[in-house]
Amino acid sequence: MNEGVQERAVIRDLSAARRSHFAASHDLLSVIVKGYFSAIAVLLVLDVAATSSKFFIFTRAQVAAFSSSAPHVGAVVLVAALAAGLAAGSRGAPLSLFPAELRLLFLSPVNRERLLRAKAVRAVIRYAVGGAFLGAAVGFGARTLSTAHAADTPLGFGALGAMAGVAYGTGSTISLSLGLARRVAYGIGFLLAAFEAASYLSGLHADPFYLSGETLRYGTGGTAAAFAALAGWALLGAIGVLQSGHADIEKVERHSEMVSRLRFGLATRDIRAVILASRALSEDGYRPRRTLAFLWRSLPSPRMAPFLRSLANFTHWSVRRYIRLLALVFVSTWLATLAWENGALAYLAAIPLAFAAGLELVDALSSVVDRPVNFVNMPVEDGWVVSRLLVLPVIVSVVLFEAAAMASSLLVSGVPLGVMASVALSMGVSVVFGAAITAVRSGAPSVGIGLLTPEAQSFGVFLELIPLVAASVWLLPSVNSHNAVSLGRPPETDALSGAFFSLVVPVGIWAWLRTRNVISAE
Amino acid sequence: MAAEAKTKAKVLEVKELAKSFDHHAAVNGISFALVPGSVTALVGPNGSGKTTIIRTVAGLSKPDSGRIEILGAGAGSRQARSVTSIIFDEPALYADLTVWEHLAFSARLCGVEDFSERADDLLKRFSITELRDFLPSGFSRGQRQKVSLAMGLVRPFKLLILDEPSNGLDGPGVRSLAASLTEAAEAGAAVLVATHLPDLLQVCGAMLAISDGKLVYQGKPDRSRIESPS
Repeated sequence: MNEGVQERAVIRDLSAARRSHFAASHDLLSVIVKGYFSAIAVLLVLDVAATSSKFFIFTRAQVAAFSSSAPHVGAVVLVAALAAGLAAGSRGAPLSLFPAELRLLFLSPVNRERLLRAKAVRAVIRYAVGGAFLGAAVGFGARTLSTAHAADTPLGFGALGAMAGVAYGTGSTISLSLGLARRVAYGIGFLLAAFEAASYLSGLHADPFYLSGETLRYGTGGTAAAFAALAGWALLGAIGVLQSGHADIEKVERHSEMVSRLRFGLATRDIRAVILASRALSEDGYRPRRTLAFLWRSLPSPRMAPFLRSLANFTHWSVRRYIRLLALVFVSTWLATLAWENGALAYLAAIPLAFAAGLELVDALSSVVDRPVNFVNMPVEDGWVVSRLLVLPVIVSVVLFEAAAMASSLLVSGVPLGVMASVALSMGVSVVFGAAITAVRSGAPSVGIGLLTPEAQSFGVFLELIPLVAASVWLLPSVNSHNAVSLGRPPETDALSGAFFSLVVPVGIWAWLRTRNVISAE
Repeated sequence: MAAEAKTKAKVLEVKELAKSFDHHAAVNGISFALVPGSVTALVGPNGSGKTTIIRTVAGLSKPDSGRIEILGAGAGSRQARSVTSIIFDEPALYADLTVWEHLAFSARLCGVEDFSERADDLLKRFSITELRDFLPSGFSRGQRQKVSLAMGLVRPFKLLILDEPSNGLDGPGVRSLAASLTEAAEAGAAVLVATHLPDLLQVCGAMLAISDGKLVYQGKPDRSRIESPS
């Protein structure tokens, strides 16, 4: 028998053996039940949003405005996906190569290139299918919120999502197989963004990203463009897959190790573990700096220890983390401003980004919960330490969100600065306290959840969304002030009252944090 | 002609191997060779470069410079992998394959279909016969290491490389391992074993000691070099 044929037969047998044991040890019914309950919850939220306030309903004018600029939106999504793929590929994505596989398969005399290409095919298909589902879900949500006067169909959104998935998968496989250094990958991503910006400003509607973005108009005239674009991206995906046989195994192995840690964090719904794995994945650790020595000398009181601990944490961040925090704060505030003026869909992106900024800001608290060694013998209650560790993050957060609000009000015409200042106040405080719940609960909730029935587990997942919900109470002043406009009242007063009312939630969290034993429990 | 014949007799030849990580030289200009029927110990403190050497010989890491040849083939090439068996210090098993399936696929991927007798012998030697049809999720560290050793020994090889193979093994396990290394050398393989254990040193006929990525000793096994290579 041909050696290659025999090799493929053994690998097929290996996969079949693994599948049979996997199927025997996993409960498919439980996965279906969880998916069912999650889908019901999403539909419920959409329905409540579409019927509770006019703010969440897209007007005909907004739908028309989106349709006219849809190709640009699509182009931005594709460029971002391709650039992100290039950057990820320079770190070893998208292939996964786990230790058992490496020892048994890659150290055997099998065709390594073929195995890597097979992995690349699976990765690109997975991203394409994931992107298609995500895109279709966004399209479905937008159509529901537009109460049927949107002519665009979820199909166009789904197709664009699939192309974005292929763009990410292809970008990463090409970057990985060419062994691009990180700065080169980032540089190419920047050039792509600059090219798209130039194309937008010049008004030339002929670049490949714009033409692919036409897919969003599928159902209203973008049909031919959609099929051509899909074919084009599929071809690019095939090129990426063919290249992937030359991937650097060492890089893939290192990346896979971090991905397993990330998956473990996600499986146990431990956001702190996910953050740490993500940082390790992007090789983004702390930097030694000696700028604080004078502060430690001038503030010797033990009462200042938590404050200095927070300050030390901030000063040891890498430059990339400062930039990421600023980007998260400014983009989430800009999206919140955009949502106030142009429709609530932008909130969907603003909420997780603002929460991510909160998670960055409470890093000192998370570090102390992870390694409480310096505070464990301090003769004070844990709550005293925890609440003081949040003082500096709240100050920094409010200052940054207020600055972002000012910038956003200038960028998005029609949104009063008074409104955004109140929203930013609420954002700055709520994201820190919402993230603080995650920090102190890190790793704890999943312990008993595995013992519950699938239905109860589904509701357990919703309980774990509490930090995100708490970090999103800033929606209150935003929605409140928008409703005031529709009632003919000046929005600033309602925004301010909404902001103060929303602060009830952070105050409640602060009281709860003071009762937590998160340090001495270690 | 005589020099050529001598080169051909070498199973593994490493010449001026160098590898750095983040501007730190993990391996710095190391050269050595292994001949058939030899058991060579590779010793050195933690972080001295032992695992880096083994990974580059396996073709899992690309060297910055230097050359590695396994029976005339480049490290990591299909030809080199067909004659090289490598066992790492940290056992890595599929959670969804039984012990027997691990051994079966280890042999079958090297083109060996009549592996049953050899596999049974190895299970007996390492006292894990009763684990044959179990998935490894509940195994102890030592049991997992024994399965890894059996996997590495069930397949054909001319070069056997082991990185700290005695980690987690009990006394009888270490003795079985030592016997396996002697048996492999007697069958004509070249064996390289990275170890800190005097027990394994007894079966070695040669020693390479490295420190800070440099080869500081090459000769007969010397216990004192385990603690202080240089």
